[in-house]
Amino acid sequence: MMLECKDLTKWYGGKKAVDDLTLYLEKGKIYGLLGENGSGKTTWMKMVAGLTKPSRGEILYEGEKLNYRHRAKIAYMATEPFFYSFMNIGDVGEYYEDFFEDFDGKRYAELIVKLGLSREMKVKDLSSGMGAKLKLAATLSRKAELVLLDEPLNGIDYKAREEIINLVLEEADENNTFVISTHLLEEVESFVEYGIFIRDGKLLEKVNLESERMKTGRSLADIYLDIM
Amino acid sequence: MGKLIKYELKKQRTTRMVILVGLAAGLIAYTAGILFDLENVMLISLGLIAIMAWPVLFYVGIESIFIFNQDLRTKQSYMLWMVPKSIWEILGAKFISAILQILIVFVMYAAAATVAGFVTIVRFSDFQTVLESFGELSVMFRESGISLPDMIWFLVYVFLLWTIAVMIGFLAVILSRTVLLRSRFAGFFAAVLFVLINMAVGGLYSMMMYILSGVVDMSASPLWNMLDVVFYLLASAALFGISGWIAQRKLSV
Repeated sequence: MMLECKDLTKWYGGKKAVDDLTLYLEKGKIYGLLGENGSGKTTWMKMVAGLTKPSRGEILYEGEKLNYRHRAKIAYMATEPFFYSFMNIGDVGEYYEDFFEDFDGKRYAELIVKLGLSREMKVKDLSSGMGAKLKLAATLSRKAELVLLDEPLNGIDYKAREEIINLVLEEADENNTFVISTHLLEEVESFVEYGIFIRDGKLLEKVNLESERMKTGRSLADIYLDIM
Repeated sequence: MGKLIKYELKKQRTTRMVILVGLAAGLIAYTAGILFDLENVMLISLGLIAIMAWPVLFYVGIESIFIFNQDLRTKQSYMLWMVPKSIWEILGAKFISAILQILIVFVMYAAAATVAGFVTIVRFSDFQTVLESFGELSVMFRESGISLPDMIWFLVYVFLLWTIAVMIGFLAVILSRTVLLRSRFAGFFAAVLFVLINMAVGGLYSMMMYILSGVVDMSASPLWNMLDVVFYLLASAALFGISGWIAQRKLSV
């Protein structure tokens, strides 16, 4: 098992953002993390990325308790803009190159061109859509074992969405695992292998979408509506 | 850790630029005052450089605390917490870059003083007077009883006091952002905590001195100086340890 989350709970004040969530992820799969706004998807991702500390429960990465060293193997794309405001796009690549051994500078250079960005653009001047593209370019330029993409298609224009989906498919193989949180079910239906359905911080169901489609012929949207 | 320090220093680049521009403007005004015999311009520019040195050094000294708080408030902290570096390296890099920033600013001021001195010497072509001034200054120090070891002790004290202030600042920010993660009052709460922890450390120091003064008579003994140093070092190390421990277990960035 690549990732094991056991009885994971996160309190924010009096509110439980993640509630006793137990979840196992395998290597070489693409998971869709699905649920309404405020269902705990982002909090779960941040806990796995090591940015948020669980109130209770534990996370094991390849059998070992999650620690800072695992960040070398986990790539996380947050929803918020988080690059240093003094940076330009070239600096972001340099930063990733400095800290992540799995970062491919050549790939990054290709991706920023592909996504309509240029190295000289300043991070603080980017629109939200361009900022999202930059986060994706940086994240997908790493050959990480576990890739966590939080709402990667939000704020991205329709044309670029297909490009991004293709990028994910190019990167996904039997050696890595993708977890993609999204509301855009139709956009991810074609390539997501498992659906992880979350409501009020609880895991409702983990569904093998392919076998479900084979068995019942239901679309992802149908399954979503049935479960949620 | 070197790479972390590199980016911490980049965050403080704007401050350095502002100081550099301010110093350059002051020096240009001073030089113009000297060259064109504008005594007022000369005195005002030199006075401003000297007067501003203290608030500048004070701000530079605690800038690392503001930056740490800002990192956490703006989520730019992800840049630090997503890389495979331990909390000790992250906090250590912040501390070392704060020292480097102070040294860089100090060098800027020293360079400005050298340039001002050079301009003055060139203008008045009177090396003898300058040398005599230095001689008088050293005599003044000697006569006032200030020796070189005294000055070194003073610098060590300043460094230790500053270190403890920065460590208290880091702890205050971490505690504040751990307890009041999403509150807009977290910055204010950190300032309150900073004062409270300072008072607690001060109380500890007084208590230690009170207990020790009852055990041995060390009045006027150099051992007091050593005790101070040991106390500040231990307190700084303890604050650093507590900050790292809390951040590792509880801080959500």
